[in-house]
Amino acid sequence: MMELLGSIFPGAILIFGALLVPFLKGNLRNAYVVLLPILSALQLFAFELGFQGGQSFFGLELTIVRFDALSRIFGIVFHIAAVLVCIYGWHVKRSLDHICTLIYAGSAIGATFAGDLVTLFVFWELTAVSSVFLVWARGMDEPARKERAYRAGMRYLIVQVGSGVALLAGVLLHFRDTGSIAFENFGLDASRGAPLIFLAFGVKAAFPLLHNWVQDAYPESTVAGTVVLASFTTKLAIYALARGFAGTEILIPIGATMTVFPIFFAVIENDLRRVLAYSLNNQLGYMIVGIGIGTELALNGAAAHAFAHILYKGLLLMSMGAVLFRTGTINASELGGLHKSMPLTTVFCIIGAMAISAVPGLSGFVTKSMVISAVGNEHLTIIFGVLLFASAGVADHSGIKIPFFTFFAHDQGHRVKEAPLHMLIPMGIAAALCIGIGVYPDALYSLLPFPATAAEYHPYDATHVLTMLELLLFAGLAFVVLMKLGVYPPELPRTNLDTDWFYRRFAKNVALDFGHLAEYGRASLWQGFVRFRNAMLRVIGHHHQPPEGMLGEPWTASATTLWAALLLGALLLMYYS
Amino acid sequence: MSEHPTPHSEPHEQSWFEANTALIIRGLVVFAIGLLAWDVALTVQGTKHVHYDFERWFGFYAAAGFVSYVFLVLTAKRLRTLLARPVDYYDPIVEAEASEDEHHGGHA
Repeated sequence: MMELLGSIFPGAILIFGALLVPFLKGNLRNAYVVLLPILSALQLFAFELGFQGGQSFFGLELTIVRFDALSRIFGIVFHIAAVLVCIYGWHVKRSLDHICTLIYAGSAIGATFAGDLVTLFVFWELTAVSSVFLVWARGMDEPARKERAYRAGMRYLIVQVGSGVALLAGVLLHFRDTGSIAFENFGLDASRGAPLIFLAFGVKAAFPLLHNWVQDAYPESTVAGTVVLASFTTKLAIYALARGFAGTEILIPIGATMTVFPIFFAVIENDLRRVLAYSLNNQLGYMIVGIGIGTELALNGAAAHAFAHILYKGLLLMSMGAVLFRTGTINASELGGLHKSMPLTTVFCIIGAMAISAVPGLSGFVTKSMVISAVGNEHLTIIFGVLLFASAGVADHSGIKIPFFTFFAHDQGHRVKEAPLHMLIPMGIAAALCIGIGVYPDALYSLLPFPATAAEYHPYDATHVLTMLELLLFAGLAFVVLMKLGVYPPELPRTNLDTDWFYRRFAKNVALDFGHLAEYGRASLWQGFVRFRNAMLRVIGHHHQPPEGMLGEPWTASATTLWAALLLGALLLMYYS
Repeated sequence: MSEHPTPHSEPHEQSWFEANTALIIRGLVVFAIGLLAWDVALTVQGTKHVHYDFERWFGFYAAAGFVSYVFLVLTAKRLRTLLARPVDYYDPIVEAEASEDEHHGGHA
């Protein structure tokens, strides 16, 4: 059995297994979609660390499977996420959503274990194509949002496929320069293609100014779709950066910027799933800083934080999805007091909020601190200060704003049922893992790329616990003070401008202006042509029109025959010349 | 979406959290004082394990948390005047959606 599993690439069970979903219904289908990621996870036991397998394809030696510590930890957490989102989506009756979820998860897992750039590209594109249907699915559920979901999906697809095109161009140039397609840590200077590959990864990792597709598309998806989308794409990009560009210093300021600027948007955003999308950017920033530093501790921190992040971000999005599922809204201005109706969801959300805020005892504390310690070890004082500020920001948007304005604050009178069991189960598992990792971090640390370095790291130092508690608690007290003073900005239904304004408004208006200009030019040219033609016709008419002009003379049969013969002769010559 | 319930209009019964807001805040203040006391102890003992000297200062992280939070929120509030636009700024279809939800009694 294990021999058979070891002969196919990781993710294959999900991708090909998804094709059977349309033939199953009800509980059988629900069991099947969860069984697939479990079976796929078991497949990982068929590989040993250091395993590489592949085959020749058009003269290229493809390494379709590379099983090492870095790919293993991402592969494990992708499987956990796949199981959780498949359970969470049990209420979805449409087969399309399940098929896309499985293929999307399978392709992300396939990309994680890809040992060469061509295999990576194939899976990279498959993640884009399979996931866009999860954005469009919202339009199928809610006809009033059909156009909106369609447009958001198209923008998402353009960005994702654009990333794939950059990756393909980069791979081709890299191959031309180096003669290698190996996916290894090559850095920016390895070839002319390396910067393009870096750009492709950066688009999917939501680098600053390239980030807005996350906030644009994710909140537009379905209840389950947003959880699925947030679990794979950006973390795959984090894995790819850790694999290909570890120690690339430009990533440090890029990551630090990512930790800071989204938190300002998160404070004033009303759509709570969009708040979490901004929060996602902020959390990716910590990982990218770690990758940029590139030391063993920093890379461990990036991988560990990605692992913990998928779980607590999934938990937060699942809790917000449950709220949307029950109340029909996810706007903070329309929510409040739900702890009375949805107590278990409240508890799970608070656990997720505490985990992302890095409260001691939860997963974020034992993972984010690795990155911050690595920054401190390198004496990057400004970056250290930026990450500190961003940590207080996380306390606001994810630690306080999400649970407070949803479940407490002003009771809006929603009296709904608790989240359904199939949503509570994955939320409960994710919450348990957040606590489990926080209480017993060694289990996670042993899976990191550099386990020996991880074993020497001890997050529960008295100073570290104290300082983190002080930072978070006094940020919380600041919230209380601002609320008491009436200074905290109220939740308002607004659209906040972000970089998408440039392509949704500015570029669109510029294109329309150019269109009008082109239309004016075309009309002017046509009018000029018509005037010229009329003038010429008048001149010709004056000289040649019948009955006095040359054209007024009738042609004889012999002249017509002569001209026809001459034309045919010319054609014959042209044909043989 | 499975449900679009109608929010209640009658007075809401108070939960324990709503009835004890002041107690919760007092609890937070007591916890904060306890942390500062712990901070004093570590500062006096000189046993703080830190990367930078400024981290040794008494209450540095408490001040950093409070000041960072206030700066963030007040700056974001100012940014809202610059960035905020009507809900239907990009997608006028939102209006149709809102009216449909209203029709079904979906939102509060």
